[in-house]
Amino acid sequence: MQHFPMWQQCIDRLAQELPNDQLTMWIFPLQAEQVSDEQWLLWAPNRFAFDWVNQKLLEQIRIHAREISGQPELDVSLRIGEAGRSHTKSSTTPSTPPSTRPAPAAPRPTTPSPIEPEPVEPGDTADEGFSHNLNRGFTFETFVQGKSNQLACAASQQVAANAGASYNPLLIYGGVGLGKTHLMHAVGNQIIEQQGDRRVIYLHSERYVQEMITAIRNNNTEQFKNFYRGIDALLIDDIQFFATKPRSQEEFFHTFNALIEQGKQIVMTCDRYPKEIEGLEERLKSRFGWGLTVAVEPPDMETRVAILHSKAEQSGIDLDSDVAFFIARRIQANIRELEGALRRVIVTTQFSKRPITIESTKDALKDMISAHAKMITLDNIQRTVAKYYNVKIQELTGARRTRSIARPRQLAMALAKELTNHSLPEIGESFGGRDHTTVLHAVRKIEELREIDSKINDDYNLLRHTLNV
Amino acid sequence: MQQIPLALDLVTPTSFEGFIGNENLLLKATLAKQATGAGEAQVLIHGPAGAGKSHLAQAACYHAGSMGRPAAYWPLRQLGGQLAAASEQIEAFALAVIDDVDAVIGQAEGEFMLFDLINRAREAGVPLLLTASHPPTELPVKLADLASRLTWGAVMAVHLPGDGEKIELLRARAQARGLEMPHGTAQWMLGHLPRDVGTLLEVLDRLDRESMIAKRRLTIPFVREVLIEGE
Repeated sequence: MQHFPMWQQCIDRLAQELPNDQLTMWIFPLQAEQVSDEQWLLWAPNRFAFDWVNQKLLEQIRIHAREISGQPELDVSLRIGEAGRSHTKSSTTPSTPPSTRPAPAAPRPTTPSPIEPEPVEPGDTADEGFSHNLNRGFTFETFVQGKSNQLACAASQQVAANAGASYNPLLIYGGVGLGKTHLMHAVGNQIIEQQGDRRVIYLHSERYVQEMITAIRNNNTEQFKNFYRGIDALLIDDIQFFATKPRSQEEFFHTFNALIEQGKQIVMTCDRYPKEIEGLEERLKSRFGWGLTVAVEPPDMETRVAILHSKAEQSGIDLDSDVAFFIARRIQANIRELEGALRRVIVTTQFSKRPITIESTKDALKDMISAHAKMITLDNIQRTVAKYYNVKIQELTGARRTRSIARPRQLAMALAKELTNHSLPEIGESFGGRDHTTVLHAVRKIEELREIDSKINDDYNLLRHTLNV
Repeated sequence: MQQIPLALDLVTPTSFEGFIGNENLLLKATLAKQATGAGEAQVLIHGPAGAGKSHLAQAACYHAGSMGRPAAYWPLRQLGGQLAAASEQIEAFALAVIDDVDAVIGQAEGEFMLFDLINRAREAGVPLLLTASHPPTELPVKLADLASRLTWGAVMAVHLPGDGEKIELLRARAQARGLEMPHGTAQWMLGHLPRDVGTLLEVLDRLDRESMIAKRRLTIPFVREVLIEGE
């Protein structure tokens, strides 16, 4: 949108008085409208910008506007919204802050709303303005299944097909960026697709906490309670954020009970096995385990390759398998980083108009690959494992063979074999001059144990994660 | 009689064109496309202080604004605790720019606010541009949820311009002010001053004023006199 010339002059003058960052932050986003010779309207994109400009810059703007227009009485008013649209309400008096809305904010409209939406009252049964807050792109169709997540995916599909009837609550746990949130959205999307009128809500646990605090402050806790106890499916992300927040836990406990009693579905995610969350009440831990608890693990090589193919396809890119394997071999930490690497390859090759080959991919990712190679060293592995098991590095590399030392040592060796390019003799050498057959034995032992002992398997995965793989 | 210069600086708008360095062409093209709304969902640019990250961040906003797309520029060091309030409004924007991620790294509350903001941007489909001193995998982020989210989009380094490019920039900016900056003078400046573009341009401001007062050309002796002997 073009500014009218006098507003542009006004910006030019402000540019000489304000630092660049303030100009960018507060002045550029304003849209100006010349209503008449006597009146200009300035539209701030949101309340935050409105408050700031109103308090700190509006007088300065008025002075320039009046000088430039030659109208000493020029009325310069600030509003929230967008110029040139019909406005039903002046927003010069701020209404209740949006955080009091118990329903999460509606998905982004294609153009910003001209006024702040009216707060949706908690407990309001009318579905007008009810927002599921679901990402429509996160469906079961777009979820790439593999060995590491198939149980979680199957359970989620079950729940979506029989909401409230099977596996209630469903709790999905695992490290960051492994697809927990995607599965949860997929459940919500399918419930809505199959039973359109369901009140399904996705939200992050921290958002729940914030809304509760606001409700307490505004004296409408009853409405808050009624709202959450009146929905059909609650999808709540990252419940570990409830730790050490007793008041929120108390409230969530009651919401949880009310929903389960009514046969409403609850799906939760957590970054670790819930019983391990410190600062979470025992009664909540035990209730979380009433339904089904499933883990998602870091994706194996084949799944990472499949994910890359799927993401590339979504971007309309035909990705060669060699290239997918090349990226998947180097980026193992989580799916977000994998996606980031793919985006980097796409923008780089599109810009240089090169096809996506191993060579061009290597060029595009050279910073990322060197950063990874730099981080995973034998020292780093020993330090991380020692810290995790609370033993000394000298003990890991020393001669003692008691189990409390030998097991972490074997684990560290197995990690070194998997994560570095060092030869087995080199790995043996770094663990106090051990023979390469000892390393081989350790690697096999850990492989065996991971199959039968979930604690060892969890430890191994967590350590890989900590090492940023 | 001495001529007193007006106390105003010539403001050069923060644009992509004004950002130099041949190695930054990909970066600029990516950010320009993102600002139109047809590009990346998330980009993180990184580089040392003085590399011009804030300039690029502001240029992205300016670029979006020039197309009628409201952009939010949020420098974390100045915004502090207000980030939470700001991010509640993210849906109103067509681009959100978070300048200086480092400002919250290591602080539980700040890291959480940024984590929440990234989630909100994703949920609302608002493209996000972040700046940081290092690539995400090298930032000492405590909150694993944030660390993984910082790696979500394309991660790109801001390349520092070479001396030749800095000399060209100084001469071009001088010319825009009606000053002539001989090649030798620009070279002398690079040999004797901090070499980041920000400082060099600040010095150019000062030389502009001083040369007007003294009615002198930007010769090496004059510049030396102003900058070293005049201290």
